[in-house]
Amino acid sequence: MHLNRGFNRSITIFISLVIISSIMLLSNESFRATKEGTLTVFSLIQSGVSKTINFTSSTINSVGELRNLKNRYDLLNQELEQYRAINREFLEIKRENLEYKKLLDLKNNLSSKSITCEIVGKDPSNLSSAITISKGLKHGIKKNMPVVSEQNGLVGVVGKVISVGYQTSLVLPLLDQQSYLAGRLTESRYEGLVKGFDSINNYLELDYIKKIAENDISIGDLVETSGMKSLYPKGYYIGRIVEIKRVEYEPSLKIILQPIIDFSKLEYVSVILTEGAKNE
Amino acid sequence: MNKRNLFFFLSCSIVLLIIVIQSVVVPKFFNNEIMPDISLIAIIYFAVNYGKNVGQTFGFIQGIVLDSLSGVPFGLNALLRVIMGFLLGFFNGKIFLDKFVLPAFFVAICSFIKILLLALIVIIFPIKLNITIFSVKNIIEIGLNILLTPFVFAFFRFIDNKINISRDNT
Repeated sequence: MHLNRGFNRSITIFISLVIISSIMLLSNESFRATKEGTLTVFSLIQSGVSKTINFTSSTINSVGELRNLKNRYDLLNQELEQYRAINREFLEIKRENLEYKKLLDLKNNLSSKSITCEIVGKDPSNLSSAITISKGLKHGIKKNMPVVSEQNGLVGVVGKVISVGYQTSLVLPLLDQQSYLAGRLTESRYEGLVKGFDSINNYLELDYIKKIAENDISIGDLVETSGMKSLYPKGYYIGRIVEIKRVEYEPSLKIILQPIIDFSKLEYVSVILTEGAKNE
Repeated sequence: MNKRNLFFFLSCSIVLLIIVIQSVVVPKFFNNEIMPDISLIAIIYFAVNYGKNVGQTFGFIQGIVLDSLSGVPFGLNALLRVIMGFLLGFFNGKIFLDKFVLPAFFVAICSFIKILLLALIVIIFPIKLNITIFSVKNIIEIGLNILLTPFVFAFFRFIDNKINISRDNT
């Protein structure tokens, strides 16, 4: 009896549930709200689980990702080093290019034909301030040819070729005490003799300027080549007056010049191809 | 809430939670997206151990949730699982499910019956659903169900023992 009652109850529940399910199945649209409501509740759990899984997997993946990043970082570091080297090279080339441009301008400005040379060395003996340039006999360089360069928009005298090799030549700078050349004050046109005075502090001396010229000259005046009986063509700048000394017992002024060319910055020079230079 | 109701509520909630988790986890890690029917395994366990009422109620709730989460017509899973729960309830007190072999065998049979029943419902009700009884998908699902059954049964047995509720032969 008890079992029968239980069975009947089960059958009742079963039939009820089957009817409910069937109604739901047959009138699908009517139960849309129920479906959506249930979906909303469980979608929250789904969303939470999904986020948790994503977070967990991304955390786990990030360990591997870190390893990949480390490898990539090393690779990029290597690449960066390469690019740095390229950049250094590029800057060097850019600087050289700028120098060449200046030299080209200088070459165009020079009235005489010239050869552009690079300074490749300095006197190893330290006994003179001579410099070695990259062109020699092979390129048409001859002894006593004047050497000039351009700095700050002014073409200045560097020195002269004193020795010519097949590939290279030796240039004696103006600063050397063995150097002499005829100079003229650009403004007042007084002439004198410029010689190396202090190669350590980079000063030249202009001699044989008469004392009467004292009122016509001043600090900062430019001195240029006179071209008179000299291997240097006329009009190249030599230096700028930095000091004027009047010595009582001497008939002329003692003028100290700062060369137009800063020899410490010198990298390229132009050798002017003058005729008969060797003979002078 | 007495121990018995607490147990059913807890079990039902856990199964639903597992289904929801499964619906999120499986697509993320597997390509074929064929999932084991944990709900069916649970229905088998509860119907065989606790009778028709528990089985069909359990089946109805599971079905409603599955219908909400899936694209099938609302009520299809509910109807299917109510019938499964009710029918399986007839085995209550008549068979003894051991730990591995019999549950696995029982689940395999029930999985196949579920497909047959589904095909029958699709024929009876005006539902546009393509059911293939013998397909690779069904075989994989049955295989997964067989593999999972010992674990699901062990889990419910564990909770069962902890709560220590009385069996009702209805």
